[in-house]
Amino acid sequence: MAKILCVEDEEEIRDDIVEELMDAGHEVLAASNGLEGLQAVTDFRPDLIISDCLMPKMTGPEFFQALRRDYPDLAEVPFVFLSAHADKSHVEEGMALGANVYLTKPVDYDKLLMVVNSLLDHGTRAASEG
Amino acid sequence: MSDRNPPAVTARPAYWTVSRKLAAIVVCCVGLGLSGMIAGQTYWESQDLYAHALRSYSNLTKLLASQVSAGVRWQRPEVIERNYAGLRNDPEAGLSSLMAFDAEGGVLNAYQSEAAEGVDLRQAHDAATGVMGRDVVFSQRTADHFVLVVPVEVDAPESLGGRRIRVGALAVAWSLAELKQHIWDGLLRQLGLGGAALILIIVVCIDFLKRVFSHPLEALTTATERLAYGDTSAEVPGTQRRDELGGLARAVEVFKRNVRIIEKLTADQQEHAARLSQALEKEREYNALQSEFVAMASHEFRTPLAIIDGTAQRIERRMHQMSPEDLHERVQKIRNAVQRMLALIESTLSASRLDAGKIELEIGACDLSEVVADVCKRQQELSPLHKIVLRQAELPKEIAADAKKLEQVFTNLLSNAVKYAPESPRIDVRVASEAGQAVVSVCDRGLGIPEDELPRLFERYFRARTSTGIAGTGIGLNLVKRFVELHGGTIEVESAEGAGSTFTVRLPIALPCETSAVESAGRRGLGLQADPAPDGGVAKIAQEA
Repeated sequence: MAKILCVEDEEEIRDDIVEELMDAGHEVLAASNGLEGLQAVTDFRPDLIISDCLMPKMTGPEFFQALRRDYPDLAEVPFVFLSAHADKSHVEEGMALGANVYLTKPVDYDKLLMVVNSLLDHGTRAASEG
Repeated sequence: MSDRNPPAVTARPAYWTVSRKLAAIVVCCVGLGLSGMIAGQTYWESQDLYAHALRSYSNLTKLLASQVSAGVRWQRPEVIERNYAGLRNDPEAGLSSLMAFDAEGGVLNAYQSEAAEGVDLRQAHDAATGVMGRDVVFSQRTADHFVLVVPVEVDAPESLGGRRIRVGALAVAWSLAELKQHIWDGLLRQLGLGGAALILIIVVCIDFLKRVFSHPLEALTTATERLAYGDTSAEVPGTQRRDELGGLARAVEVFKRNVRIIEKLTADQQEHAARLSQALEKEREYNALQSEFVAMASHEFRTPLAIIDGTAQRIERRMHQMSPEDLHERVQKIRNAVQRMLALIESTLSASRLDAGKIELEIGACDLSEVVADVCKRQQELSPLHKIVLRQAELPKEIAADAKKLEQVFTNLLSNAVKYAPESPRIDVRVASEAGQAVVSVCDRGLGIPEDELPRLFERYFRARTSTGIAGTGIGLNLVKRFVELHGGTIEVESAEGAGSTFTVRLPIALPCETSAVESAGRRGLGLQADPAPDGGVAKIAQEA
């Protein structure tokens, strides 16, 4: 079981993802934009973050940059972009920022879970090895 | 002068201007003339003296001839004395001394003065003895004298055989100093007469040159220079002249006309280039907006798809644990997402149909109040966190309009109000009748639109700065405006950044019986007016979610 922060402005999508992750046994905190996500990380200390890109107030990339800048202790926390921007340029942009994975909507939940578990496993292994 | 064409060559004004050069030429010519005059004067003076000498000599020979024929012994010193004194005293001859030689070359007279020193006696001897021809005159120059040595012959009388006999020779000498003085006096006399005339000639010549060449040339040069530096207002002087300067001036005039033409062409070209680059900039901007639209459109399609797919996946996984209510809610979610997609497809297609000019209004009896109320109700269901407040004044029950298009118009305005006011739930929708027009306004208290972007708000693909982070394609408001205009209506926006926006749509009220008229008016984008049917003036609040 891991702590996952899910940042998504579309309520209908957010609810499903949260449900899906909780069904997989994770503890999930939902935020509806980057700013809320940034406020959440202080107390929640997630093991993994899933974030949309296009959101009001603070976009996903802005959230990612603020997170990496202001929370050095969360530097190793895997970060997944999940966005309806599916252009190659958007994917490259997201990856260039330093995200671990860029998934496009609509997403297959099996794939999402696989990515999440893989990233969490890797993190755990890295932690135990370290 | 314009600095557009910097001078290719810059030169300080030369000291030797053309007029100065011409003046110098005049002075040189006059100087040469003067020298020539001096030389000529000298020559003529000397010729004059020579002529006198020869005349004196001729007189002497005549005298001698008469003396010889009269039996006078001319060789006697007193005779020579007398004869030569007459010759020597001739003031015109200016002789300073004479020497006489007898036929043997012996010196006869006592007038051997300083002039005789240095005289070549061998020549005198040759002349006297007849070795030389009778016409040969020796000229000699001693230290301070000019000497002519001439043979003296007389025609002997018949008594003495009647032939010419050489009786000796004469050396006629002029003092060089006297000679010079004599010539110099003559020159001064000449110069005194001619000098004033010469100065006058110089002045007149220079003045003439100035007026005829120098000044026109200077004026032409100034005009040409001004022209070269881009001042086409310069008048070209001297185009009426018939000489080379006139030709030059006419050529400069042509040059001036060409410069004007070039200036105009250049200005036109610059304007054209500016227009072109403006158009190019606009095109570039439009392309950027268009590619932004493509990205956003893709995003907008994927979002409801993600909702449908996500919900479907959830149903598939939990099908057996779901309550009927839960299932119903999820199915409803799917259906809403489908509606959202349909609306998106509809607006995208409408935009492209509008571009192709294929959109026509389907005018029918339309209850505008009902259309607005339906739209509000639907939007309220989609956005439960917002509070849509509808106020309606009475309108004619039915007006002539395309209900589907108007529905699209108000759905768009209302969904925008919700989308761009995420933090301010209250949205006011007002329906009223003003001056024969139906007025529908949608007012939110959301992000607002920056003032400088208001004029571009209804452009295709344009999205205001304040929309950052909010999904949208930028075609909605453009479509709204065009649909409203197809109905002969207008749309206005009032907005302040951070304070929200109010969109006001005004539509002409036309009764359904005037449908055909409205239809054609609608196509032309003109409005028709009719009195609203008075069916009560009750304002009602349709939604208080």
